[in-house]
Amino acid sequence: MQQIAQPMPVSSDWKNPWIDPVCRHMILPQFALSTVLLFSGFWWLPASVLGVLSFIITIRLGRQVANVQKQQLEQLSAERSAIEQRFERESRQTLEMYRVSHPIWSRQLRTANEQSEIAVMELSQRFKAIVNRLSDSGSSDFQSDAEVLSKLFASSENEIVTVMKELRQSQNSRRDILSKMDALSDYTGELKRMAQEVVGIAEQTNLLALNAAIESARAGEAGRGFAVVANEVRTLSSRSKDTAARMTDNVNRIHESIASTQAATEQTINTQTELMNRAEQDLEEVLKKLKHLMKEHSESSVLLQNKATETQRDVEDILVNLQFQDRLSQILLQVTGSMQGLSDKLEQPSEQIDVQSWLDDMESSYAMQEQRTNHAGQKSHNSDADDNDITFF
Amino acid sequence: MTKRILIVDDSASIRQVVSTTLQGAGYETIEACDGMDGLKKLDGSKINLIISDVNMPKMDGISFVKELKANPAYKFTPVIMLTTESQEDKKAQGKAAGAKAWVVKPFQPQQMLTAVEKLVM
Repeated sequence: MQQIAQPMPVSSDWKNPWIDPVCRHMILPQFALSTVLLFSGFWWLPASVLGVLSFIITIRLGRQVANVQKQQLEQLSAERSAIEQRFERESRQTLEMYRVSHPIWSRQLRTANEQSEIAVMELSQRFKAIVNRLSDSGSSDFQSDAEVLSKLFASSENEIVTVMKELRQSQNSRRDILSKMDALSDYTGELKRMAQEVVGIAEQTNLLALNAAIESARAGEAGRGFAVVANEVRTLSSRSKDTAARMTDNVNRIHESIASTQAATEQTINTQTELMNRAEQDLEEVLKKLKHLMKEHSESSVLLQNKATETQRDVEDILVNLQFQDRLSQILLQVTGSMQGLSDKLEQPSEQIDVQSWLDDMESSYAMQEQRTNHAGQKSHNSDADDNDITFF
Repeated sequence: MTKRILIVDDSASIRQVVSTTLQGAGYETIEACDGMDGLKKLDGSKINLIISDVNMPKMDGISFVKELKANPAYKFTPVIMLTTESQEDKKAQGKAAGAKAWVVKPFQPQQMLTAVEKLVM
């Protein structure tokens, strides 16, 4: 098609009609003859000859010019015909190229769109999985870990405190037993004193019985019966003394036993108290460390949870951005549809194409503002951010 | 009882994004790839809400909503149009067909959930 705009090839011959040999050979002799006759007195003769010759030359020249113009017209006609033939041939070739290329371009666009759709689907599926995992871990793992540990710690602390309280109570009841054993020990001391009093009474009774026996012997036959009684009283006194001695021994043994039990109990209580104090200190230490660990764990859990929430939000934003595929599909579908429409129109060469109507149809097929902006030749944005809204009817 | 939402869109990626958003909020979703497919999915079972695209092959969203509203079982089922179209005349067509809301793509999941919660039966 570019060759049409090139300057027409033209012959240089038609520009110079004096190249005709007849004309060229007649001019010089005519000029020489006219000069001679003019100076020899026959001035009218050259004038007549000159007129005749001028007439002949004019006719001759007219014919020459007519011939040249005819040749020029024929040449132009031939060139126009050649150009028309070339234009027709090239138009047919262009149409044929478009007809052949159109389905290929459509398939390529469709494939590109399908591949993009598959890629976006895979991406969104992966992102969906990430969101689900983050959502699960965010709502259960981190939170439940921290909560479970916190609850476990609180219940353990409660249990330990209860056990310690019970141990303290048990220790106190041991101390009660010890104080009761002290009272028992006091009773045995009393018993011991009472036994000694019995021994004293027995000794005094024995002395009295001895005196009675002496007095009965001095009374003679009249005091014989009384002597028997006095003897019996001495015997009883002796037995009382023995009994009191055995009682004292027993009471002493009981007292010693109670004292040793008291000593053992007191030692046990002291040891227990010492152990409990140490255990309490150790427990306090352990609980303090656990509390610290809990706090650290809780802080890191919160940090992790925050990070997870942030990532989840980012991924959700990406899912929103992946919606570009739908916009891309719509643009590609409109382009392929438009190409098909053009192809159909070109298949009917007799049909007169109304360019404006064609452009209007194209514009009415747009779905997005971006397409309309592009159609108008303005700079389009990547997305219709301003259109992003909800209208309730 | 879990509420069921029908998503009608020719773009699989859009169906997936909408589905993910709704399932995350506890809804059950059913998917259809165009208006015709959407009508096939209406088997008489209870549908609490429909989200439909506008520009789709075989049957566009506006025609789909008109057909839907002609079915007595789904006459009162609320419909949200989810589309790249933002032209007022298109919105008017959607309203006339019986849609209850018009959401322009790309949408924010939270925006979509707000619209769904407001309209779901």
